[in-house]
Amino acid sequence: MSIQQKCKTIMMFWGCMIPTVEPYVEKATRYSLEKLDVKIIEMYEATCCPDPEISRTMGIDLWRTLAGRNISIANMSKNNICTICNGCFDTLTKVDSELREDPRLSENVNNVLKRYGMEYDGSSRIYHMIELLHDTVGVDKLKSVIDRDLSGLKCAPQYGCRILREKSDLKVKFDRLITLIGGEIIHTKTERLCCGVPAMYSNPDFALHQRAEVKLEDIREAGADCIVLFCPACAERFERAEMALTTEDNEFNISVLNYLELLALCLGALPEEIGTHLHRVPVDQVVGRILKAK
Amino acid sequence: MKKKLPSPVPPPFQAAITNLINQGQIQSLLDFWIDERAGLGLPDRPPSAYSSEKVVQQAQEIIKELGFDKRIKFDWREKRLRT
Repeated sequence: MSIQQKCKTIMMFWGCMIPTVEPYVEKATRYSLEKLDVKIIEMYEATCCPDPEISRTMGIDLWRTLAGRNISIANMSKNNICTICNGCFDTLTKVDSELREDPRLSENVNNVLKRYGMEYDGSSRIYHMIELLHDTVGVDKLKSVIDRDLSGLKCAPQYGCRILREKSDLKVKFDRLITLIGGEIIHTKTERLCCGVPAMYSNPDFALHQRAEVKLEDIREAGADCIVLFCPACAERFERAEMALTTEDNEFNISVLNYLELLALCLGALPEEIGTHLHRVPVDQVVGRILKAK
Repeated sequence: MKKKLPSPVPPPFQAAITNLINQGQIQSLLDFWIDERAGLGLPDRPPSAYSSEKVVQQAQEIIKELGFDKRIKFDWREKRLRT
């Protein structure tokens, strides 16, 4: 198999949120990757990544071992991993880096895994979907295959704290992916602020009012048509926050769309085909505008 | 009289940790979403621990081997945390 062919095959780590509460993102991803000639290999043996807040806090050895086990599935089948979720990306890249750098840790993990005929060897690369689209598929290919574009739709990007913290080039690539399909980026004062998910467990009021509400008000004031993101946890946080905060006098009705949904629509998908009607906060107006665009 | 100790797992984390041990995933898959997945032409259960009892069992063996269940006082018979 040539290197180029190999690059166009990816083992998807779907995580927990996209398949269980945002399957429309899974559908849009499958649609888009097929159109972009990227073959998905399923990770049937995957468990939770596990999540970088609760699981890491409660048992770092279990967190590291289960993440090492997930990565070993790709190692053993000689695949690279791609994930859309910023939380999964955080866990998998952090554990991968720890196990590469500390032979004592990788030995501990492998001592557990060998009972199941598994071994972590650090041979797989872990991609965020931003990298897969921007670097592996490539901006030229993306440009050449889109059927319609966003025609200046005002998009407020929600980068997610882990992307901003770990790899600043992902922010630049995310922006480029939005403009590539015709979106106008609306920068906001609070774009670097966390959506509030990690704070939800300890202080739900703080998470709602000091994080999600502050951001939503800022985005509304900036005149954005929609929030665009990759992270499913940020998406769920925003939609739930909008439902919780909306009153008769103060309506939040900002569409929250995963970039992969926008991409699928630009690649010719019909809204009902990718399930945009399943959003908690309706996205009809934004989707209607995209469908009218050439 | 012995004072009953609280669970070592803080209340906001308990549901997620219980799901991780019972299902191999912190997020539950509700029947509503199983139906909606099928409606979108996706496999009704995601291709991971959600659709494989063997994977869940393997994760549970790892949890026991690392002593995580004992540290957090998980009751395997009741399938929940002891509080």
